[in-house]
Amino acid sequence: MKVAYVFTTQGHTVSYKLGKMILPQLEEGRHGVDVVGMFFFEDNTYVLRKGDPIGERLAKVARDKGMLLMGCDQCAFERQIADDLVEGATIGCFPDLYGALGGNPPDLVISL
Amino acid sequence: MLQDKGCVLPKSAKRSVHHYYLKGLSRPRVAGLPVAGESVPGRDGLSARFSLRVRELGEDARAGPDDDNARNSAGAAIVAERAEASSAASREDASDDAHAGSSDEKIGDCPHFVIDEVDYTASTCVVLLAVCERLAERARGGTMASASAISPADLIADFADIPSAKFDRAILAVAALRSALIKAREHAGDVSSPSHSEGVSV
Repeated sequence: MKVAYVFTTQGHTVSYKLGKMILPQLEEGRHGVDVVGMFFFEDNTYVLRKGDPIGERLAKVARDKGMLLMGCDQCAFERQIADDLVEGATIGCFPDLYGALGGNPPDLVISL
Repeated sequence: MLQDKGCVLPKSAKRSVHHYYLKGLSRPRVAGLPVAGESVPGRDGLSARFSLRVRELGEDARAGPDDDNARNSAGAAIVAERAEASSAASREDASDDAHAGSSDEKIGDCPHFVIDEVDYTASTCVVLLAVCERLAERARGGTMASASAISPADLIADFADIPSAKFDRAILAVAALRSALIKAREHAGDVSSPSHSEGVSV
């Protein structure tokens, strides 16, 4: 099964659910599904900033597995990080997300 | 360091997409401008349309210095600096398109007509709104000739944070403004109708 994650809620969404559950499982090849893409809203976009410990690990996984990493463009511009993202990460809006996932669509989209 | 409008600015003083996006959203629209360009389609289903009000300068005003040309020269310097700083890939992919149409075209080439007001409508894309707002700001108060000389690369160089994947928004905005300038030129009685997209890759 293929899934895409949309990180939309604030709080421990990225540091806990992504950083301590999903990402380690992906790195160890035991997440249980193929993650085809991740999309980040609002402050969650900060994880894609170059040098972020979780973001850099995520970039490596994305590179190895061909996974999409995209931040909300408006969120990234507001936080002035649009030109300072980890390698392979992009920014965009819904049309960009759908376009990017169109060639490898997920079976499920999970909002966290 | 960047030179803009005769001032030396630190790099951090470059304009941000977010600033112009918010400005574009909050600025009251000007209804009923007499000259409207075509709604120009772009990539990803986006579109933009500019409208203008122009005024012919009196004889006295025509003799004054052309500050707009000076401003565009400064913009060209910024483009050069930005191109130098950007990666080779970005230069090849984006700069070629962005420089399209930046030469001495005759679209809207009416040096004695001043643009009193500019407005636009555009698809809701954060980068497109930001570049349209900046383009309107640059065109407002200048001559039609100086407005037609603004290239996508000039526009991109005004911002610090437009990713190369979104450079097409600047191309679209410039094409839309040039469409309105063509209409304005026709209104001004200097009828010569090149396509609005002449020299501009969208």
